[in-house]
Amino acid sequence: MSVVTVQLGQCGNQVGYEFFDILCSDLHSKPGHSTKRENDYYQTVCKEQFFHEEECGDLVTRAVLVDMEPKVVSKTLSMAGRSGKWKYDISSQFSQKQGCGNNWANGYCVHGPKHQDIVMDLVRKQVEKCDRLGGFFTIMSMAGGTGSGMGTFLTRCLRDAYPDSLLLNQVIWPYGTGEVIVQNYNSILTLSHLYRSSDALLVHENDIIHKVCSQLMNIKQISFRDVNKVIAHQLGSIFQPVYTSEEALHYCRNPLGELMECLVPHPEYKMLGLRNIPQMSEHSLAYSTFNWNGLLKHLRQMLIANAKMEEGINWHVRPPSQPTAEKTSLRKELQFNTSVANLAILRGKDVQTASLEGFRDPPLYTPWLSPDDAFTLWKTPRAFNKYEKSATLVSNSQFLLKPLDNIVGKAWNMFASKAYVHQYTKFGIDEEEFLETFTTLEQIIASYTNL
Amino acid sequence: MTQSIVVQVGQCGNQIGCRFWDLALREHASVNKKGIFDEALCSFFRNVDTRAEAGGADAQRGKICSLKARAVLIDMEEGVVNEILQGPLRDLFDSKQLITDVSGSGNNWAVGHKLYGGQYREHIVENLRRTAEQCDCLQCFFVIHSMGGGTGSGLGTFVLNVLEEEFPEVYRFVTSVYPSAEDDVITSPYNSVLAMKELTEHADCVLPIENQALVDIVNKINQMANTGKLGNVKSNSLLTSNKGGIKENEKPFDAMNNIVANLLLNLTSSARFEGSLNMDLNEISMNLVPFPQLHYLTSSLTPLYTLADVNVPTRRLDQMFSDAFSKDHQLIRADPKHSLYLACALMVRGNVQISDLRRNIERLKPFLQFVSWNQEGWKTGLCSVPPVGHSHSLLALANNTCVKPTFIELRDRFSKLYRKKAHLHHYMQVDGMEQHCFTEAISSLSSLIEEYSQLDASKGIHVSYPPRLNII
Amino acid sequence: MKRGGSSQLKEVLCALCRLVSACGVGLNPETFRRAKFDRPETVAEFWNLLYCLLTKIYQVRYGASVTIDETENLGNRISYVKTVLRHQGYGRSAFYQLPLDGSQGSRELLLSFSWLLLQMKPLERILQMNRAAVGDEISVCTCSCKLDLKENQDSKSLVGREVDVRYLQWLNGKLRFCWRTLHAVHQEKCCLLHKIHLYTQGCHVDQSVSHLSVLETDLVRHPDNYTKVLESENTNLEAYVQWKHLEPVYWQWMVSVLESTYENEQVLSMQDQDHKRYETSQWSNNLKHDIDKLNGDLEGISRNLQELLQRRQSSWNEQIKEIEKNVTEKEQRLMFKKIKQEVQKNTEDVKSQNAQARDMHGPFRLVFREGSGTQNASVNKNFYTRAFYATELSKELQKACTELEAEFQRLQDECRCKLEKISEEFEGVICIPPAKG
Repeated sequence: MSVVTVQLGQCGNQVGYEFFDILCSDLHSKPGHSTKRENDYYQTVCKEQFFHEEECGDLVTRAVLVDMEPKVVSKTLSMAGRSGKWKYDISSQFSQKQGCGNNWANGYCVHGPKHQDIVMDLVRKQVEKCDRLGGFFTIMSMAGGTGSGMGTFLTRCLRDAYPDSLLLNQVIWPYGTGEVIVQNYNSILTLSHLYRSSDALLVHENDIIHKVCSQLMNIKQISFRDVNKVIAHQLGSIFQPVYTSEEALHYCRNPLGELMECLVPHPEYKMLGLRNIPQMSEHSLAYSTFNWNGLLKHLRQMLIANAKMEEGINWHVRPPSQPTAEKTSLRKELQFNTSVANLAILRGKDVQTASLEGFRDPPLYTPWLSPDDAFTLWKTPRAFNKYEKSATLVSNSQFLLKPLDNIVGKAWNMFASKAYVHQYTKFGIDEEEFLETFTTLEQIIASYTNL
Repeated sequence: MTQSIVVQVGQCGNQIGCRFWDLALREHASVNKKGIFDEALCSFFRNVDTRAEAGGADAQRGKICSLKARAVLIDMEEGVVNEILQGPLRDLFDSKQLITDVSGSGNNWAVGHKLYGGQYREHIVENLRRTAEQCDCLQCFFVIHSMGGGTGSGLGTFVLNVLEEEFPEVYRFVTSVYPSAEDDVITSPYNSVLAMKELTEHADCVLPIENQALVDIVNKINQMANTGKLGNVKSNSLLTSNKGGIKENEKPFDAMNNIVANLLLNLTSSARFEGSLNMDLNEISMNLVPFPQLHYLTSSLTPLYTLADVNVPTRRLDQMFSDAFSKDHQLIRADPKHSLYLACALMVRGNVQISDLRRNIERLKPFLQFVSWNQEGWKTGLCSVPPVGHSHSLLALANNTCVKPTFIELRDRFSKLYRKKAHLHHYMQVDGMEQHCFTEAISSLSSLIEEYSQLDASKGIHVSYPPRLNII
Repeated sequence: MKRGGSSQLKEVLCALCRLVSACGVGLNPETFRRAKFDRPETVAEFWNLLYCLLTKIYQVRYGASVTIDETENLGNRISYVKTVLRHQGYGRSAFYQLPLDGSQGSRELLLSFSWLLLQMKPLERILQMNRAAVGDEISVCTCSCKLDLKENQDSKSLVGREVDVRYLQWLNGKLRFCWRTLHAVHQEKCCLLHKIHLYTQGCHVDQSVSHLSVLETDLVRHPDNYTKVLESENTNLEAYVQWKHLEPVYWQWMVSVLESTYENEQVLSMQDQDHKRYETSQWSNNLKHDIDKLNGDLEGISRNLQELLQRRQSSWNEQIKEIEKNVTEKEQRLMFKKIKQEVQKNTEDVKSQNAQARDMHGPFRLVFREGSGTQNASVNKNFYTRAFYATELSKELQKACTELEAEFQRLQDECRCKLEKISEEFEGVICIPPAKG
């Protein structure tokens, strides 16, 4: 099964590059505790999924690069070419001269329709190279214009052109402040439109990744490259081959499908967050040992206390004694993070010994789903990306409720003051459309609040 | 990549333009060592093979043959333009890019706008067209002019109108030099206010610059550089310096004009060079202009010079951010810290990472007041190529109500003259100029001031917004 | 029986044993001979044989994964076999009277096994099952499954139970994802088959196929992997040929078995004569009485029906006359035309439904044909007895799909309308229709 990746805008292209780079370096890393045969199959499955092999053996990504200005795409292409391990399909890129100027409406209403045919043609060419198209993986940011506006438009086109394929949108959530001033408008427009056409939204918050870089990775002067590497690591930990059931004899060839099947069957709950453990600098990694019990205990508390990383977890948060405890009010501080569904992915040594009973606790989940429906476990003895043991938790839960509420609140105030609205009406997004967007998002917030 | 065209109008506009081209060449020369005509160069220059046809067809890529500026030079006197044509930059321009007259505008906006406007319209349009056709993706016009004189303010704003009519899709950024209070042109308040109305209505962004502020900055730099207390100042790092440029001997206004030229270079750096967080020109108006008319952006440049020792401690990097918000570094005489921010952009060049940016935003935020609906009104850009002579630099652009006092002062000076009807007849003599032009101009300025005042009034008051939509 | 006959019998029984062994039951020819004399030691073996054969057959027919449970005790196996045979219509009561402990009745079992051989063709099925798969099969199902909306009424019974609607939506979503995965898997298979067919075009000796199958292609690439498979298949086929060749011998022998059964039964019947006769006579008396009664009922009902029909007919005739009086000739003609059209349309519908490959279900071999215009593939089943074009089939299915979608859309719109009507009653409220799954 193969996944076609679409990298959009500056952020999408930069993250996409790091993602492929980490997949490749992981493929070439020592297999750790898995057998040679298993490792070979691991490589085959990964390659099939994200690359096609040229006759000379070079790995070429199944990716389409899109940006409205040329600098980032050309730099990304050349960086990949220099890596020696993999490269992009040079013909599978599209860039223009002039960016979308941070304007979602410009990307969605102008550039999107204008370049739809060419870009969809590039996508089709990649799709035709797949024996089996598993789905599309779109990497974009919410803040800017190209990634968010054009990305949203292309997602709609993909949905129309490939109605049965799976669409996963990797969305980079902007820093709370300081990236783009109109980011809240762009974000709500992106989210509300993606909710209509995408199957699942996998969200990475820049603020949190930034904290991971500074507090866990111990990086002093954090660059976007560092941030993107952490995101790529987390993405890789989901998509690298894994056994999706106890009885499975082979690595799962359809992780995208299985991921969606266990996390986002409900159309009102499509937001996925990601937590992983451990995460540290290479230097401290050399001096650390881990055991599964400890890792999973931390991961569980990170989940229920809504901690974004293993440092600073609030250990006082406990699951409510009664599963149908009174509904938490949104404006109140959310103490306990209720989940719709969780997926744990364990990779590394002695993975068979890990016990995940803590994740099958009914109070962790919404009362209308039993833990058997709501919790899924994948694992593999093969270590991932230098970590002897590592655990990733993909969670469909209330964890995004607060940032979402924040963004909608700020955008609402700005909208009520009519600030910047003229920049959008100029390209055809009128106040009516804004109101509809607000309605959609309030609905999402309400759905997650009333779990 | 996109291209931009510089339209320099009047004496002041051409002098600044001249410094801009000199410094732009210097900057590209320091980045582009191989002498290849690259994308970055393409944004302001054409590569012309002069040996080919007489027309000089563009030699697209490859080795630099002969660079031509994407510029239109307009002046109604010949002095400054002739000087440029005889100076070291003469090869940058050919005669087709020039529009000159001999008689000048006599410090009269009406002469520039109405008389010469009508007279030269065809010529100007043709000239702009030709220059625009030499671009494959024209993004922006940079108009450089002064507000006080006749040609710059009158014809400059006329050109702005022409641009809007002929090239509605292309952005119009205007760098306007405002006269000092003790300006020797007596009609400068009239000219400025009449020009202001045009700027408010037809520009996408205006970067107001005050002569007096430039003078203050130059004095400050000279003082710092000459006392030598801070150690050696690195040569050609002075924001006012010509060093490394083609023209080494400085003229009186060169120091001031270099500052404005640097402003334009930094403004366009992220669009020309690569970086980890690009900031295209169209992002500036998108992020900084919340309401169509409020597009006056105050600017500040730091550092003004770099010390010779190479180590850059974090402290000094942070100082750069602090300076950008101080009164002394603004290019107009205003204090943004004590006024209300609508939005703010930080365009950083050089070896600065996102964490440095974030740290400084967090540090500075408590001291700045932002309008209630835009508490996080920060836009940032990271360009990896530093300016010549520096390891890093910062251009802060702010949409801040601190421009209001400048406008009020202008209005007062205008009213003082207008009450006495002084010099009005000079204007009324010009065809097409009527009394209502003055009243409309002053009411346009007043309503602009009023808009800023209303925003100012919301400062510090808790604003209540309509309740959010409720899902039942 | 001649000496030669007995050696032939041994041969045929050997062949039979070899064939049967392909489904995992080891049998000795001697077992059959012992069964003829109703020796009890072979009983268990026969029950096992029947059990294994039947489970295998059901496995093939319904695709269910009926794994033979080795631990299943004999009693259960016996009742399973009895149930299945009854279902198949095996009528010997002596068989059903066999005890569940498997202590006796080997001859009876031999008889039932032979009946099974004729009735359900287990040997052919086993052969087909153990055949190395061609690998080009795709599953087709055109069984018409019309939406039975009446079933919805049953769901009312669910209302009482508290099921969060979100759970149902969740399950629905899950189903959708499964469908999409299945869709992708099928697409992949077709895509890969197409590649193989295209590359091996013209390689096959059989002109009607002209390309190699998956198995054949793999055979060409890795012949070593298949030696064992082909050898065992060859053995099976040889055994079958031998069996077919000597089958009359077996049946002749079975005649002798039957004869000995009759002899035995006569002895037996003498023994239980009284008891049996009494039972039987009483049973038949009852039956006779029942039949008489039913016959009487039937006659009465048909008389009533006849009368009813006549009455109806005469009233209709009167009505028609009445109508005919009122309706002018022109209208009549119009009506006639309309009715004719209707009938025509209906017959066409029926025809087209008939024309559609009815009850096509199960695996079909996909064959690539280049000649027929575009990349047209035809699908054959079971040694090419029936063939049809995949494009036509997919067109038909697509048609059915659009019809269903339209129906779905209509129902959805209906619900939406209802919702809108309800929401109109609230003021200052925007109604958000539920998210599409």
